[in-house]
Amino acid sequence: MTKPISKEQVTQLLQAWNLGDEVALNEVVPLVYEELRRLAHSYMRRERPDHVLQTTALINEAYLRFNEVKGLEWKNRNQFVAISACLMRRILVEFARSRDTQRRGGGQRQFTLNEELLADSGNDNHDLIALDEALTDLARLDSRKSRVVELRFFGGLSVKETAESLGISQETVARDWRFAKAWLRNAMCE
Amino acid sequence: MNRLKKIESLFHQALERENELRLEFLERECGSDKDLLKELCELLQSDSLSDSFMEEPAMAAHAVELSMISPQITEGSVLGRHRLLSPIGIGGMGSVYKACDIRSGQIEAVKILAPHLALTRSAVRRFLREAKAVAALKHPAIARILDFGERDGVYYIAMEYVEGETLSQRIERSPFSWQQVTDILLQVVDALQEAHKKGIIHRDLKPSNLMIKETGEIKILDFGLVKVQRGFGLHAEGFVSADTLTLPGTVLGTVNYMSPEQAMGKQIDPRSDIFSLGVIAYELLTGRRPFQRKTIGDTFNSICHESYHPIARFNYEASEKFETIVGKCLRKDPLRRYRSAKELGKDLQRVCEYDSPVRTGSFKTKKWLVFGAAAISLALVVLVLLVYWLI
Repeated sequence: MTKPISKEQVTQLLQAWNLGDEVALNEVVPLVYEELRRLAHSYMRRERPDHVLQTTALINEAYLRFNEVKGLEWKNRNQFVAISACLMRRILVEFARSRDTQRRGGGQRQFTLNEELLADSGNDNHDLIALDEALTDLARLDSRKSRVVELRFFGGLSVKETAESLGISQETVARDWRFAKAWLRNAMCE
Repeated sequence: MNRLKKIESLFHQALERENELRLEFLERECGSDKDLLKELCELLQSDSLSDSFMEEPAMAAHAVELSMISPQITEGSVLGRHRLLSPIGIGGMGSVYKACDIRSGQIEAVKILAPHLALTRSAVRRFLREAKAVAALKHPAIARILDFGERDGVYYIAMEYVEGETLSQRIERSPFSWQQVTDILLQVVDALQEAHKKGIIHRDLKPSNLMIKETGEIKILDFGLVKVQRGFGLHAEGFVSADTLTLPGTVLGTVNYMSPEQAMGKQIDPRSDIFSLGVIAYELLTGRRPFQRKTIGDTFNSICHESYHPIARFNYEASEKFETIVGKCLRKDPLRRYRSAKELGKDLQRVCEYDSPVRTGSFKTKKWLVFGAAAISLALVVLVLLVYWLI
């Protein structure tokens, strides 16, 4: 139900992450996007969704497939993880948007869930959308913090992995994370 | 130092201090900048909340919703003879698409079993059983099953596409008149009679499962939790068994319309549907759900043990006509409810015919009136004859 990612979006994404060699990546990012989406679903087929899903494992698998199977070169694994976290954000937010539209009666509501729980999941969707918007605001003020959030929350990376990916200390990641969480929550309430 | 950096620095410095010393520290640091102080207080407040905000990665938190969508299924996909046009919604067991029958061009609704459910054999069995059971039902007020099957591991049911809105959507716009409610209930009751006769209990009747067309016609949707009754009467499978409610990825059906026996996980029979219909009738007439409480647990308790406010409190006119009928649907003990949809139907008919349900008392009065009138007539005839004879 999610739309394929557009060229402009890819460019924006790479700019946001200060990644060079845009031409090559322009071609690859849509493929990574599809691959992540496919993997996300197949993960859910394998694992019961009530189990915690390992986003990092998923991104890792995508990375391996791209390096080994498709023979595409990446500067390093960190570059791939950074892009993947960003794409996971897009996948999840777009999904939440489509659910939110449905909930507001954008389509005919045949075969709905019960209202209470629909309302609950509606709130979750709404939260995810609000969070995405707040995160975009935070990126304008402090792009490193927004990246930490992207990697931790959307990429599922640990503090250690996030630190490695961004080339900063774990302590800085922990401090950024704590502050960003408080900041985002306030921004979402406004 | 820009403002955010300053805020961040003070935020961390404050956190290093004991809780009770923080305000004093911040007041000193912020000086006359009241906005800065306010913002910092809010940030520390947020930080102190120990809930689940962003505790889990987004993917894990939203896994259940994501899993409801089949990756290989998109608009334009073809399943058997059905081409999917656009997504309509997501239900307890999977997603639903508006679709088109390739051969006839007929528009339909295709329900697709969620991919992670397709892997468990019991879910597949339940899905196919549902399809078979409802396919056997033919009634104008029940959405028809047109086809069902499996393609490359994707299980689907093609159903009649119903143009209209659900009663839960409709009731948000404006309340129903008691005549409309009677009309709706009569249609549902008639369909239930047919289903119950075939040993099928709906088990999940609620306003969002009832579609109303512009013509006022009703279609019952989503026999999602249907289980075919085995044998006769009370030998149905337990309903609130773990396998129904904790089905991975499935969200528990709303509890507001559940019967007490359902809520307690006891075996159920057609009278459970009667109770649910009573709750629906109450809501359509008053705009309120008789047993809804803040939590699911409290709602369960209310369904099983508490009485509800009489309809009269919210809708006096309807009360006269429906209080007795709804009351008899909502009895906690199924043995004291209407024994069948047919019996309920008869009382509803009376609402139309006499403009109010006939009570035993008034029935007797009428009989006496007729008897009395007959007696008086007879006496008059006798008198007239006597007079004639005397003359």
